[in-house]
Amino acid sequence: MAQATIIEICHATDTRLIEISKKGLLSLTLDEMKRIQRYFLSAGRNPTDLELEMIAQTWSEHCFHKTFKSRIQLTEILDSDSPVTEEIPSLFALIRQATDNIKKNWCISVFKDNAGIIRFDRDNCVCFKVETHNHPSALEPYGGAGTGIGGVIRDILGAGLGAKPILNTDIFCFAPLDTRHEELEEDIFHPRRLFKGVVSGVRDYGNRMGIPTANGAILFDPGYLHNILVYCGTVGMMPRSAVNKKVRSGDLVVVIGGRTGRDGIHGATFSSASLEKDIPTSVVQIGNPIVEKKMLDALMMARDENLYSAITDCGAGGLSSAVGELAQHCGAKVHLDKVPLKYKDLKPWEIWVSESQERMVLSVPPSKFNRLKEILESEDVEYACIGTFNSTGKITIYHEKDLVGELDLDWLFQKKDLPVLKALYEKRETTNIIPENVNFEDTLLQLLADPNIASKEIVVRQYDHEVQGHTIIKPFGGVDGCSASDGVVLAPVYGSNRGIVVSCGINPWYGMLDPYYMAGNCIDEALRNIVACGGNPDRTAILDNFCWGKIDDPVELGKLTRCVKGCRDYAIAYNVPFISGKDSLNNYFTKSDGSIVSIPGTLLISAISIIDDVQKTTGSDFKEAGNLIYVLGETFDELGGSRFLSIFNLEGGRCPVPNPEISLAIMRNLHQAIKNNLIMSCHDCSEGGFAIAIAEMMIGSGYGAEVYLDRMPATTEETVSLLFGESQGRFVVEVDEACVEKFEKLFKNLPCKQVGRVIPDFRLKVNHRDNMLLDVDGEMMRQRWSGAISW
Amino acid sequence: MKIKSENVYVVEIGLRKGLFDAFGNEVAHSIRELGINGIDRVDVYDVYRVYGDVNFSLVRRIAKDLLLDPVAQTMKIYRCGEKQKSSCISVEVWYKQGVTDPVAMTAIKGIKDLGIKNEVKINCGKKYEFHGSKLNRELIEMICTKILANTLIQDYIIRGI
Repeated sequence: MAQATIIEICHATDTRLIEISKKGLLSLTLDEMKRIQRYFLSAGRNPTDLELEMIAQTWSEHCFHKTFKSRIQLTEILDSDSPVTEEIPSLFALIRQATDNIKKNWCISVFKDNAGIIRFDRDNCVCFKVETHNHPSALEPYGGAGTGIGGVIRDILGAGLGAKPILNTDIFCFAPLDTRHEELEEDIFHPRRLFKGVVSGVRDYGNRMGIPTANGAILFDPGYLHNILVYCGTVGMMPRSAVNKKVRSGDLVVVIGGRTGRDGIHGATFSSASLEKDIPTSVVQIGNPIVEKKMLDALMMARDENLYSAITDCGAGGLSSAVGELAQHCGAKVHLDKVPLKYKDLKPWEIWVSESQERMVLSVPPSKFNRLKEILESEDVEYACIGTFNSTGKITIYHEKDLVGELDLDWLFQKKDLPVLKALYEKRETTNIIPENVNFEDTLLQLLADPNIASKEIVVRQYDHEVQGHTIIKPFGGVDGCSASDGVVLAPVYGSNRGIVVSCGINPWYGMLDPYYMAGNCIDEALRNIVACGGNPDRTAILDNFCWGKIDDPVELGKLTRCVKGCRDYAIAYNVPFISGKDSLNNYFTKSDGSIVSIPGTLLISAISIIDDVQKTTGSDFKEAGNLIYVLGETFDELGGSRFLSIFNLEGGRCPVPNPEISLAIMRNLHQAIKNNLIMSCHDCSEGGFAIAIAEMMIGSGYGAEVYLDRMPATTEETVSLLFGESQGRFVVEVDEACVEKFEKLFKNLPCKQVGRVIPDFRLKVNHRDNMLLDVDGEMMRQRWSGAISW
Repeated sequence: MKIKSENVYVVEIGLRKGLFDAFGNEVAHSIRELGINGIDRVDVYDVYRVYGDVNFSLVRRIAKDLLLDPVAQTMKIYRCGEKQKSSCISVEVWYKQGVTDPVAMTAIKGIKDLGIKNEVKINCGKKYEFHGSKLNRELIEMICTKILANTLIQDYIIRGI
C-alpha cells in the first residue's frame, strides 16, 4: 500500500538540503530548507515527503508571493540626478496604500478573498478576479488556456460564499503571427499555433460553461516569442449576505467536483520557476467544463440554502492549499484515502498536492451535510467528506490508519523573515523622435492593419457573448456590427436597468520606456474605456496583474518596483481603488546558448464600474451625417511607445505622461454628458491615436468624417503627433447640433474643441493648415482593418 | 498502451460525404501556412479505442447510440491492429497515458447512462487522412509535431508511408 516516505533532513548538510529541494522539484531556497530543518529538529523527527511537499507549496512564489511581500531597497537614477535610494515596505503595501488612501465605502472586500468584492445595489455585490496562466498555455495552449479560465471561474465560485459567474474577460500577448519558423528555438511553438490553441481553449471552456466572454485584448510583440501571456478574468454576482465566510470548528471538510489524479503535480512550484526543457507531462491538463458547470449549478443552490459556512477552490497546491487555507485559523484532520481518485496507486503526497481541475472544498456543518448531499446528487456532482475542521491549530493528515503528516499551521503560514531585495532603476534618456517624409495615407492604412490595432473580430466571434442574455453594449456594434466597442456593458439583474461596465488597459511598449508612466497610462486607458461606454469614473474599481521577467535580476525588479509605484500614485490621483490583483513573475526563457530572455514587463489594468442605467450608455460608431465631431483632451509631442513609431521600426521617444487632474475632470463631465443623452457616440484615443479613433468610429457606421487638425486642443503643431500620437486622456465624441450648447457648457474650462463633422460619404478627409492631408476611401480602411488577422 | 489487441475495438467516425469539413479545412490551411504545398485535402475522424469487458455487438451499440451523430456522420468499427484497406497516408493522435481525457470520461459516463453494466474503457483520439502528392515521412513528421500533436501530452502514429 502506498505510504509516506520519511526524508532525512535533521542532520543533512547545506549541500544535501539544496539537493533535496532540487531533486524533489520543491523550489525551496537554502534558507527555507534550514527553517524546515530547525522546525523538525525541535519536533524531534524527520519530515515525511507529504509534509515537505505541503511546505513547498505553501511557501512557493505562486502561493506566498514572496517578491510582493518582501522589503525592497530601490535605487533610482532619474535623468542626470544622482542616485536616490529608498526603502519600500513591500510592493503589496504600495498597492494597498492606494486603496486605503481612497477609502470608497462601496469596496466590500479587498485583497483578502479569492476576488475583490464591491457593492452593486442594495441586495447584491459584484466580484472580479483576473488570473494568469502563462506557463501551462505555452506548453499546451488549448489545455492551458482552458484550465486558466476554469481556474478563475472557480476563484469566483470560491469568493465569499460563492458568486455566480456572469462575464469572462481574456487578454493575450503573443509574438507576431508572421514570425518565421527558422527564428524559433527548438521546443517552442509557433505563435500562430499558440494563438489558435489559446483562443480555442478559452472559447470551448467559456462557451460550455454558459458564461459570456465579452471583453479583452490581444497584443503582439516579438518579446513574447518564448513566453506568451494569457490573462483570464471572471466577474461574478452574489447576494450581500454571501460576502463573508468563516470556518467553524466541527465542520466537515467536503471536497466536490472532479476526481483527483496525478495531474498538475508541482504546478505551483513549477509556475514559480522559469521555462526550461524537459517538462514533466503531469504539469499540463485538459479542462472539463461540463464537470465545472454541474458544480456551479449545485453550489448556487447550496449557497442559497445556506448549507456551508466557507468555501474555497482547489487551485495551485491542490487540497494542500485549499484545506490549509480554510484551516489556517483553526485546524483540521484529513483522511486522504477518502478522496475520490481517478485511478489507484496515488501516493499520499500526490493526492494532497495534486492540482486536478474542477474541484472545490467546502466547510459544512454536520447537520447540513444530508441536504447538501441531496443537491450534489441531483446535479450529478461527485463529493466526499474527507475530514473535519477542529481547533487544534494543526493540520493532521492520515492515509488509512497511517499518520502521514502533521504541521503547525501558525508556523506554516506565519510571516517569514524575507530577505531585503535590491532593485535598480535607471531612466532611459528620452528625446522626441519624429520621422520625416511620412506618407499619411500609407501610414494610416498600415496602422489599421497592424495586428495590435486591427479588428479581432475573427477571435471575438468565436466566443459566446450573448449567453445569459444580459450583454447590452457588445464587443462589436454599429449598423454593420463590426465597430469595436471600448468596453462591455451588462445588465445582470433581470428587470433592473442597473449595470456593470468592464474594460481593460494594457500597453507594454510604454513600459519599455518607463514602467511608472506605463502604470499611469494603463489606468488612464482602462478608465477612458469605462467612461467611453457610459461608466462612472467615481464608481470604478481596478485590478492589477503584473507579468514580469527574471525577478532576481535587480534591473527587472527595479522596473517592477517603479511600475508598482506608478500604480499607487496614479490610482490615488485618479481616485480609483485596487480591489484585487495577481503577479506572475519569472516569465523568462533560457536559450540553448545559456542566454536569458525576459518578457517585456507587462501590466494589465482591468476596470469595473457600476452604473444606474444601462440605457444611458453609448457605442463607438457614428450615428448621423451632419453631427459635430469634438476632441476632448490635449495632444502633446509624445510619440514614444506609439504604434506609429513601431511601423517605422523606431525605438525610444518620449513616453506619454498622463495628467490625472484634467483627465479625471474630462471623464467626470463626459459621464454627465452621456447620462444626459448629449453624446451620440464616443471613442477613446489609444493605440494609433486620433486618426485610428476616427477611423474606427467610421468603420461599422458607414458614415465618413471631415476633420481639421489645427482645431485640435494641442500644444504641438506637428502633424504626425496630432494624427498618430497617443497622448493620454483624449476622447473623440459625436454631438448632435441641437445639443451643442449644453455640451460645450459642460466642457467650458477644459480642453475641448469641435474639429469637424460626420459626412454622408464613407470617406475620411483630414485637413491641416488649409491642406488636404488625407482623403481615404472608408471601404479600403475597413478591409485593411478587418482582414489583417486571419485564423 | 499495453492492452491485448484482440479485445480492443476501434470506432472511427467521420463526416458524411458532401458535407463541409470545417476542421479538415482548417488543418489543411495550417499545413499550407507551414509551407507544405502537396496536400489537397485532409479528412478528419474522431477515433475511439473501446476495450475492457466488450464484444463487437456491444461496441456497435455504444458507437451507434452514443458516439455517432447519424444525421451528419458515418462510422466504421474494426479490431485494433486489423489491416485497413486504405491507399492514403494517415496519422492518429492519442493522449499519453496518465493525461486526463475528459471526452473519454464523459463517454464512460454515457455508457453507464445507457444502462450498460460492463466495465468498458475508452480512449479518444483523432485520425487525419491526407490526400495529395509529393509527401514523405519527414514532411508528415513535421506536420505531426508542428500542428497535430503536442508530444508533451500526446503520441502520434503514422500509417501508410
